[in-house]
Amino acid sequence: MLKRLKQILSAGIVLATILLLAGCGPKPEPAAVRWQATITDDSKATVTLTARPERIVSLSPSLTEILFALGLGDRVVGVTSWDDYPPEVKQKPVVGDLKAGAEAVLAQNPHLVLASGLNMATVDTLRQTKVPVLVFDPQSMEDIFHTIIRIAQATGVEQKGQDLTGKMQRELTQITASLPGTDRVTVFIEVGWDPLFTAGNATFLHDITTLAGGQNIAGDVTGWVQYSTEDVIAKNPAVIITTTGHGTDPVSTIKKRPGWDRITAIQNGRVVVLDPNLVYRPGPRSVELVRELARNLYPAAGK
Amino acid sequence: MPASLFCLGLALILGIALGSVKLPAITVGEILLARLPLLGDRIVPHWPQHLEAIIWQVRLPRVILAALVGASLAVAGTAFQGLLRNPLADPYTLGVSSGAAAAAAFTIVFGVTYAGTGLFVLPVAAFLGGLITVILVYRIALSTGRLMIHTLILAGIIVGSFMSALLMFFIALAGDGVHQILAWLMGSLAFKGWGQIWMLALFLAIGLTAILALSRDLNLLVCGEESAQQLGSNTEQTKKLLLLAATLITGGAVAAAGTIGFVGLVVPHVMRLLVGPDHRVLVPLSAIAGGLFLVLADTAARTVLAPVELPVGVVTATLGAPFFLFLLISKRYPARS
Repeated sequence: MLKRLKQILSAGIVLATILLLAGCGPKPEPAAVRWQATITDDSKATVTLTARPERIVSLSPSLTEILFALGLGDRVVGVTSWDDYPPEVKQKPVVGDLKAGAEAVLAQNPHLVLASGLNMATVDTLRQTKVPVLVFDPQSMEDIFHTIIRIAQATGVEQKGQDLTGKMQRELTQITASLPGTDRVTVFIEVGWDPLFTAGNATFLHDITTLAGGQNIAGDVTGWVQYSTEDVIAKNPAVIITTTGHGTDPVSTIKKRPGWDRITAIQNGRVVVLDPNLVYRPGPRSVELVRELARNLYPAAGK
Repeated sequence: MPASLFCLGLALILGIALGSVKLPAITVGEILLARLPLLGDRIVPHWPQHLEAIIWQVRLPRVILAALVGASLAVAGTAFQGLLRNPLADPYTLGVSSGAAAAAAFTIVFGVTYAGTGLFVLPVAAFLGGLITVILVYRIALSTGRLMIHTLILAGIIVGSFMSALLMFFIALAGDGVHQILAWLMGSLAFKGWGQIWMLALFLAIGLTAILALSRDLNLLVCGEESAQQLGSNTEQTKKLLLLAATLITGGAVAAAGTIGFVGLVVPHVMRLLVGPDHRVLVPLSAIAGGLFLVLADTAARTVLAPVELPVGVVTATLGAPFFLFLLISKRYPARS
């Protein structure tokens, strides 16, 4: 019995030694460096991609624009019904509207899904599958740069991401350099009327207004808030920015509101209507938006 | 009973087969059977592999969730209608939904909104919000050690209104989070993880067992408290336990799927017409019928306007309200004394 035990033990030791030596042997060099990307997105999830995504579904028009700006248009296999820029996007398969369901997304066999925070239900469902999902919700120009860099990392085109953000930053510096340093134009950003809503700090609209040289009179409140007409009249902004269409003559429309005709902006006819497609899509075209806004706020600067 | 279970099974299969993406029914069947140990080996996959995720991680869990939520709401509705002796009672009468909604809105406005860990904060908060609301209502309705039913309903309305006011306050503060709160209020059966489904199943199992055990007492209670007491039923204990069990079930359902209306109101009535008021039969059949109803409603919500998905609460109300109207004006609706 003891002899049997010794036999088994020695066999085991030999086996273990062999395995150990095999493990300690020189490792074969991998044929190519394996690509991998780990990204932390705006939903605080850390996602690792183990292969360059060749099939990307974008659930947000602004993220689609970023993909195309990074030269990844060929890899896009699914967009929303709201996507319209650049024009090539219209030929891409549509997986739904801004609340697209997980099924339609999965039917396109994506290697990567990009989403905004507007459709977390679908994001949560997709996260139960093996498909990597990245959520981005830029609220400022800096956020846009950060988003572009992260998307470039996730798709293996880091250099293009650096190039794009570098170009955008240079254009931005050019714009802001020509603006006066002091005596900023006071601005009221009207996001909605009845009830009156404005964009306070920590919003994209506030950021671009500030970059364009304006001073948001509602800059002391945070987020999208309901604002009182009294405060607008009291703070008397020189310019009103609005995104909602007020027909062909926004000045007269706003003038009709009780008390608004006293405001400097209305008296000077300075109402700037911004294209909602640009405003609600923080992305590659946002520097253009800042340029247009700066031109409206400081017409004398002659850009 | 077996017939109704069969119908439920059919509904489940229908829910898995139908969706916004058109998949041939045979393929769906094959995908499902391919996972079975013996039979599965015989099936040769001829479908694109990525489509399996649609069946296993999108539709199947969703259909299971719908069945569990539907069953929970129907059972809770049956219990509340018996307990409160009121045919218009539903799981939300005592303020569970208002409390849960206020708590959910609170986490969205102040807490973690959708970070990785936030996924579990909201359902837990919603559950606790609903539970605390009913405990509050219970305390108010307690008078000299006895639970007064009419006071319970009134207290439910009062506390529920207060919670709704809180909810509106949070919505006003919400800013960007408004759409998230609204989405939650409309109810969603989107699959967010198996943990959620297990919790719901646990609550349903506990609550359903308790209510089934109390079925006979519930039958007596419906006839009136004095009569019940004279027949030897401990009405105080029955009322307390029923309240607790039904609230537990409702809280679980609301935490998992938000506020989905009409299921808890209409399903018990329909089943009462079909099988009579004996709760020993009514409760389990309402569970099955509730699951069936919600699975069908959800399947419709997902397919009618595909790829746009209707909120399931819209479908349940659209189906439930006319049906309820039909019940009211129908001669077969027995007058309650």
